[in-house]
Amino acid sequence: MQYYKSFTTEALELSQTLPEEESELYKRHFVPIPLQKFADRLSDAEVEDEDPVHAEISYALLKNFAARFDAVIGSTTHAVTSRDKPIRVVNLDELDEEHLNGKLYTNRDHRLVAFIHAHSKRLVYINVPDGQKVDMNLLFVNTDNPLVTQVLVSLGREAKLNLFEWYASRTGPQPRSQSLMSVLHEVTVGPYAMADIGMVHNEDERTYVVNFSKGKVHESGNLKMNHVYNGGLCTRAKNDIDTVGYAATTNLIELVLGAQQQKFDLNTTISNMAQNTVAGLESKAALMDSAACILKGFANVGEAAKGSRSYVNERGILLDKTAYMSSIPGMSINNANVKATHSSATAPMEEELLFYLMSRGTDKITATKMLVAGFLSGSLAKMENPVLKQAVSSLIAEKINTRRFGDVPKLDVSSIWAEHHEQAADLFGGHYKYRELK
Amino acid sequence: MQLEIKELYVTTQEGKEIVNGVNLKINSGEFHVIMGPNGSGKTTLAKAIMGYPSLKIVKGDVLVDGQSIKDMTADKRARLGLFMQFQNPVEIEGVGFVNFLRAAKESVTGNTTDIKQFMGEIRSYTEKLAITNGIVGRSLNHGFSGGEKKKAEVLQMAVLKPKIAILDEPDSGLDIDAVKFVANNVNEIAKAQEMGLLVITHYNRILSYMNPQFVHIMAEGKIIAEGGTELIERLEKEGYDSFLNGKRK
Repeated sequence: MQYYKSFTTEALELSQTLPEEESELYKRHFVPIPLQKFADRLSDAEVEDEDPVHAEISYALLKNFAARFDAVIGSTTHAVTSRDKPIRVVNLDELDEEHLNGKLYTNRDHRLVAFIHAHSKRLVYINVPDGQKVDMNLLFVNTDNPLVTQVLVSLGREAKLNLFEWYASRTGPQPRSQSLMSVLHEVTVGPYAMADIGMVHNEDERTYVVNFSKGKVHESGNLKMNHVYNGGLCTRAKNDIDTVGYAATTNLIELVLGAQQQKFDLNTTISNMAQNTVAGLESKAALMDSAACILKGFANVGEAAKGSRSYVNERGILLDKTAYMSSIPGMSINNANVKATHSSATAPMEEELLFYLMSRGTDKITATKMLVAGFLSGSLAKMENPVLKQAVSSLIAEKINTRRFGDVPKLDVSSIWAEHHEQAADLFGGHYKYRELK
Repeated sequence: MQLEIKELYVTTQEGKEIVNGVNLKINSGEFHVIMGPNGSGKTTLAKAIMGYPSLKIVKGDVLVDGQSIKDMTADKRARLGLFMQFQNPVEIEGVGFVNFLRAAKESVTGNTTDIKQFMGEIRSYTEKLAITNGIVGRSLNHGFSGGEKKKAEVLQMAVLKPKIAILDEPDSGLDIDAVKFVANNVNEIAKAQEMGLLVITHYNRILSYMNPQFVHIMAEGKIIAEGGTELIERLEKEGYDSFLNGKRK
């Protein structure tokens, strides 16, 4: 506890003194989060009993998607409903130095990291022992009380984890009320282990979202992360995933569905740090109304990464003239014997495509849903979790039908009725600017 | 159903005049052909009838059974019973052909589709049109050859059962045998469904396998000659210049 106290004291100071964005590359392109507004409110709970909200959202998700949650993490309370799964939630007063062994972040990594370190009231631990296979669903819910939590995930040798996380909010109804969903993940994938982590962010329009993840993948390990950003007023996400072991693999998919005044800032760095590693990032945004999105994907290929492959692929589709997208893919390649490629393309929705679909009788909303689902279909094809697929499909339908977000959508899988298999090919197939490995 | 094009003037959004006063009446069950040289405004006329948003109708009207449709969006026109086969159908990756056609059918009929029955209907037409099953299992027009695209358009027409179909160059990009094959199938489907047809083409080859009742020659945005199949024979012998009185640009 003493150790943690000094850690949080440092964090608190750094959360106030570190700059909002340290990278020279991104200093002019980021979405600010008004931390101070929330820091002042963290000590007093505005909503005393969160359990009814948790129950309502859990039930709606169970009913619509047959998603049963093993744990619900709220702003002030939590509940672990599955006793037989390797998850535990540790309160601040129970923490000791040992609990922080799995941490990958330091306080100095980022102002928002320091903020989360300073204000977390508890840590969620998921430890999958060697050789075990675990499926787990987590629900995170913020009310007017800001939610600040850390999730530490660790997979032993040859372990497998399918983790699905749904992020929801219930704030208001006062117009003044704004809240925060801030979660930090630290994921360590052991040798020959495999983690598939899917996150659906569907917070309401009064909630700021901070989603930071750091990952390390060891020898022949595999980490898949699928992030779906549908909700939240402003989202700031940062992922840093390193493939540190021989033949380790990581593939990240980020899908953004933006409407109204939503803002998204996604900054993801994938790193090949060892031989024969694979690191891929695919980010896609479909934006309506005055939604804005900044995609900052970066691939870092280290000196020791001989024989590795890396790609960053960013795509945007603007459904309205007032939507905004900025795509900033980047690479740093420090070994000559690698395949590495990056690409970026953003365009308004093509009038010709819409006209073609409408000329067959489909109304504009249905045609738009088809085009957005088609745009995202290659990425959906790579997602294996059926609940995640259903959720994304339903969110597309809901968002285009209503231009709203934050509620649990009704099940609508018509968008994934299409055939996806043909687009699931290796992204390298679409690129030509790399030289063949000898 | 009657489609009437009344003194129609169409420009681009930038104001470029393309269709300059076209009059035309087509009834279900009739077979009309518009022939004309490149750039005469045939495709623009077809798109304007179907409601292409980047075109402006600056004068005149498009009527269906006496009611103006010029302010309707393309989907509403389709639901009235109009269909347009595109000269160059767009490729839409990720939108499944069957998924799309099912949604279109449900929109046009207003009824939910029985999927088993629907797939049976598709299968019967794919066999008739010699379409490989692979096409219907793929994304809409994505990676289709020129011939496959044209056949897929005919398949859509057959399934959606419009009252009047506009076929914009159904012969372009097809080899001789395929032209005959497509023409025969269009004939058969149109006859069986008592469909009105407006075929737009440069060449008379496809018409030798079809039997149009009304032929319209279009140039410089206007219909400059109308008649029966004798016009096609004249075109074959004398070309478009004879209709333009040496004014061809």
